[in-house]
Amino acid sequence: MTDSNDVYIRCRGAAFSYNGKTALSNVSFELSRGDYLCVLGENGTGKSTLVKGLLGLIKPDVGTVEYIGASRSDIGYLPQTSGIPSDFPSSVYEAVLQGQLKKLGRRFFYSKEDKADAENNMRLLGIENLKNKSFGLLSGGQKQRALLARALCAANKILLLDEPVAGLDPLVTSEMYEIISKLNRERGLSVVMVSHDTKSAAKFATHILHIKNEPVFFGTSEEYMKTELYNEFLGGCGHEHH
Amino acid sequence: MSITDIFTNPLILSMFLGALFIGILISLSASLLGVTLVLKKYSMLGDGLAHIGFGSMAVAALSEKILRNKFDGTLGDYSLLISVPIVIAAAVFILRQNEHSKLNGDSAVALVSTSALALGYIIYSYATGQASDVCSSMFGSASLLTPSTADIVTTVILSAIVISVFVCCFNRIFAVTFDETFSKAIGFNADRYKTVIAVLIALTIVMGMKMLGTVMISGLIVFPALSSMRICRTFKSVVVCSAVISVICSVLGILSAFLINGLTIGPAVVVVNLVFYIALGVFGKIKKA
Repeated sequence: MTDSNDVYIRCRGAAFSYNGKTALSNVSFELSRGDYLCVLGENGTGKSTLVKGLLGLIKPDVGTVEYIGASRSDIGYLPQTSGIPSDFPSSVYEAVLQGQLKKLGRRFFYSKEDKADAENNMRLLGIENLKNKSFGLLSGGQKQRALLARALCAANKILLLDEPVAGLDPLVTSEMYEIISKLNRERGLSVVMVSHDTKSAAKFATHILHIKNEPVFFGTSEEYMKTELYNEFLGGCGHEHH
Repeated sequence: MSITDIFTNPLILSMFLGALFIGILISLSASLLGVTLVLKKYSMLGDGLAHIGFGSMAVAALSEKILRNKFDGTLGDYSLLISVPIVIAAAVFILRQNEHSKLNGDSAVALVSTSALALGYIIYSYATGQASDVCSSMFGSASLLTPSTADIVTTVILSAIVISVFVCCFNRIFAVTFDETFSKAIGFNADRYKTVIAVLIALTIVMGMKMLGTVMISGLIVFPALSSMRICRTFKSVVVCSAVISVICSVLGILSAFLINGLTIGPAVVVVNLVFYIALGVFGKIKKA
């Protein structure tokens, strides 16, 4: 067992409903400092519901979602396929700076530190040269980097990434995975990533939570790779490109 | 009338400067909010709210009639006291609507605004005792008058509120406009700022309604934003450019209303905005090519 201060999120028997129907039940898991947790599952099995639950946008019907060594405002969030229209007039910098929103507190404008922090995060993700480019005109991979930089601005302890590589080509996908791993190792951020990609999840994550409207597996990735679930996937999913 | 008339006749000059002063304040307020409305796909909100404003003016006319009969005294212009709360309530209702209902924003606007227009017209007719001429309330005052001190004071106060709140909340308004989901996810109270935006829009509509007319005010909100989006690519530049375009168009529109006989300010300003929109569209295409 880890020290209780190192536990960031503890979910106990949580059930969530969406539009009146129970979408996800009996969820129990822990996220600790430095963990890289991958949430796996097919579409419509409750992954997005879990994300909403972790963000506090929906409350569990039963059970609890507790923040212990972290609070909800320590989460940086990367939404699934962002709904930002491509003709929205916004520079990349303006988009990234939105991640500093909570730091405004009662102030009206961003401080020099807030701005410098946003620029640092852009540099870290290699998009500082895109600073004044229009966000809508970026390629898919560049957009995800910008949104990850934005999430990073808001992330004090936890990065919550909802399908961060969806729609990206294989090369850009592996770059994104490298970046996320690096942030996990070097910045000490805990990562919660929702994904379809079982193989990469097992490769990069430290822990796996596999859900089918309720958890069918929670444990370390080594344990996961010994399970039927993983072997089933390896046998049945020849369409994965790598 | 010629330009020399405007500047040599002190009476006309005071009318012109009054209209210009009020016009600039209204167009500044409208253009700032317009950017958010257009980007949030709420372009018709201004139109809908102005119709509600028309309805509220009818209610004010009716209550004035009733009170006049009772007290037989001269009442001040208190129509704002009736318009402001009604339009704010409608704005908040429509903007917050799609969070928890089956009625989408677009339908909500259509529904509420037509009803307000119909009821407003019926009440107007009843209050004035005739199938009334509502042309001036829809397209702005047909006759140019020196704005009353009350008009100027109200416009200065309301526009000061709108502009200063917009500037101070610029980053938060951007956050709500650009990506509401993300803002909510990191624990930002997006709903509160949607309400702030709704209130600011309502104040702008009430301000502009009298001068430009209820049908025209929505053009003043939407056009400058659309025009500036044709040449600018960042949010801040769109907002600044929209304000500049809006002020230029209002000055030109008001000037032409004074110079051309029979032209009223509302339609004049809207037509100048249309010309700018087309011209900037062409300019944007050339620049890109």
